[in-house]
Order: sequence, then C-alpha cells, then structure tokens
Amino acid sequence: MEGPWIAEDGEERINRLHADFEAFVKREPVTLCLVPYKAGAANFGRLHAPEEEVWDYRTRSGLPVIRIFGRFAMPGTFIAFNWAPRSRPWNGRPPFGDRNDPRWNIAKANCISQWDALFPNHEPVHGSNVHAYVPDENAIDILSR
Amino acid sequence: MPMSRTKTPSTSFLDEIEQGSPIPSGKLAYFEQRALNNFYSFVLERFLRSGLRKADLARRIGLSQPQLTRYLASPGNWTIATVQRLLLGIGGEEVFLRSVPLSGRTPQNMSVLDLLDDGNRPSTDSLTIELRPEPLHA
Repeated sequence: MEGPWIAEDGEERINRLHADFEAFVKREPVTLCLVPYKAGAANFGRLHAPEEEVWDYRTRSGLPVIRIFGRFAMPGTFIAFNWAPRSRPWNGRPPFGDRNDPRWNIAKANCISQWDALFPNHEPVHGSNVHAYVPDENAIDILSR
Repeated sequence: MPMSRTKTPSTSFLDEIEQGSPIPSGKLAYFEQRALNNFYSFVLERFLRSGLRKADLARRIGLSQPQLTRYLASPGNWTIATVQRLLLGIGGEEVFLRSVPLSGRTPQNMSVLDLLDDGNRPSTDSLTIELRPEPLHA
C-alpha cells in the first residue's frame, strides 16, 4: 500500500482501501460469498475452483473495483498477494475481464505459488460456511437468508 | 569527517486538519471511507441482531431482494438516506449524528492494537462518528 501511484486518484483509492482494511482488522462486519461468480459486491468472494481456496477482496468504494487476491491462513487472517483492477485499467494495470479471461487463472496460480513458498507446510482454510473464514457473528454470507 | 545528519521535522497525520490548510485528497478519502464503513458496520450489526430475513426487510422498505442484497453487500453507493431507510426498516429507528473533533489527538499510527482499541478510547486516535438511533416508538 505504498506508492508512488501512477493513477491520478491513487492516493485516494489506497487511503480508502486502508480504511477498509482497518474495518476488517477491527472485526467489523464483512460479507463473504463461498460460491464462485455469485459474490456480486460482497467484500470477499471465493474464486473458481473453490477447492483451491483463493479468494479476492473487493474494494468498497470507487471505480474500477480493485480485486486483491489471497488466501485465509486461519479464521480472521487473510494473506494478500497480488491485485488487479476489474473492468477498466487502473494505475498502469490492465483490467481483468469476465470469467473467461485467462488472467484469473494466472492470478490464482501466482497466489498459490507465493503461498507455497511462504507457507510450505500450511494449508489455507478450507470451509463450508463463512464462519470458517471469519470467526464471529459479523461474518455474513451474502447468499444466506 | 563526521557525517552530518539532517533531522526530518516531525509531522502529524493531522497537521493540515489542525492548521486549517488544504487537506490532501488522500486524507479526505481516508476519513470519508472510515465514516462510510462506520455507518455500514452499524447497520449490519443491527440487521444481524434483528434476526430479520432479507426478504422481510426488503418488503418493509420497498426494495427488491436483489437491491437489498447489493446494499448489504457493500456501502459503496450508500448515502445518509440509505442508512436511514435501512434502520427504519430494521428496528424502527431514526438516525442522529454526532461528530468529534480530531484536533489535538495522537496521530493514528495504524498499529493493530490501536485499531482494536479504537472503539474504547474515544479521546485518543481516531475520528468517531456516533450514530445514535432513537426509537420512533416510546
């Protein structure tokens, strides 16, 4: 989260992201979606294929939405590795397209390889409900209720 | 020859705010987003505690369920009107705002400990915007 930022609104976007991360660290409510392609505007979405346990965090404000790829090391701990803008270029990076864009798979593979290098003996969280990933009542499954 | 050292003047995260000079856009954005996130957390916590189903809340405040799901997913498009509408539907409450001066506070050092303490130490690090819901019914 340190610049310099090429984008004209770089400082603004990153400061907003900083505020978002603070909210996560303070265990304020977050929305998650376990089902690939269904996350909509949820804060965290699990990517296809779910068994790989690669998630993306989506920025809450501003366009383009920035996707930050990572995995949950334990409940409430998200390890972020790389990022990409969605739908239009930002800060010198091209946007990711729809689900057929090969860059999704590249980003996931990058995430997994960095994970394996850092945590060779540690599996990411595997869960069947959102509370496996964010361990309190403030984890909201966006598809529930 | 001894190396001379230049001491960097100490600066505060709140310098521009305290001095009345133009506030950098990044800093404005940071505090705007904190406020938005505070509103969002407040409303979501109340929704979770209410036990309401999304379908019931959507019907009460005149939204389709997909519209409500989008509102609850993220606060990106929220306005004060959104907050009021949701709180009215969740618990029949009206919103009042209170803001707290930042001036004179210790600069935010972004440590996890400070962040976690944020809610318990209103006179120290951070902006607090308190939403005080007032029940419409006695």
